[in-house]
Amino acid sequence: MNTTLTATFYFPADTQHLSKLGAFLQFACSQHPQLIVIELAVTEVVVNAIQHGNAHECTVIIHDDGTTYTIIVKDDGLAYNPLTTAPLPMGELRVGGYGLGILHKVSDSLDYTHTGHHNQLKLTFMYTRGDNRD
Amino acid sequence: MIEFTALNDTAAAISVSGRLDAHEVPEFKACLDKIKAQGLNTLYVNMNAVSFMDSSGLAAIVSGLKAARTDGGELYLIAPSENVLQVLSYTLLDKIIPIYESIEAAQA
Repeated sequence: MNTTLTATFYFPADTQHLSKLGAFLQFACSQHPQLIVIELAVTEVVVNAIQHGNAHECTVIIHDDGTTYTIIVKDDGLAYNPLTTAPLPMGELRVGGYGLGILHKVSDSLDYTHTGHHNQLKLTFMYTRGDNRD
Repeated sequence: MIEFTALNDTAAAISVSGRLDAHEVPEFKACLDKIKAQGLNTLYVNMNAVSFMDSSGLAAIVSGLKAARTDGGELYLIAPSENVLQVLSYTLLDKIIPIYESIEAAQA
């Protein structure tokens, strides 16, 4: 029987808390073979909410069922569904516009809902796909 | 932490350690501005000790590279950490941005 764990991190929407978010993710997702992909994806979502959505608060909820990390990122910023925007091409030398492409590249699945004035993006990361993204 | 040293009349070595994320990018850009103000257009950015870089950090690197090239110089990434290399790989910029093991290798 798999053990399931849930961890939650709430923080004001300010980039000064990104390092604490990173520490939380590294602690809560320690079984993933490539932690960097989880921190990259969640950071992209949070920074977007802070810099473009004018969010005031963010919550990151992690559920670990023993084979997959399911991560929900909630913010109270402007409604924005990142799944309706096509990522810009990779391999182009431009100042910005990489975040969405990274998010799609490293996540195993993405699902967006907007409820109660909150954006909610669900990301999944399977343990076994950690080394299969290059 | 971000520090730089002028190597000669045209080049500077920049050392970045810890995180290069959306919160740290303003410090990195301020460093680039100081270097540009000194007339240095060839930048060797040592990223061996960078523990995490997001797309904001990557965009700042690209901005510095473009500015250096506009001024007739170049930006080289020196010994990037594994985490930095992964971000470069995901974005395919590892094929575009010059990457070397050392400053000496970049200068050769």
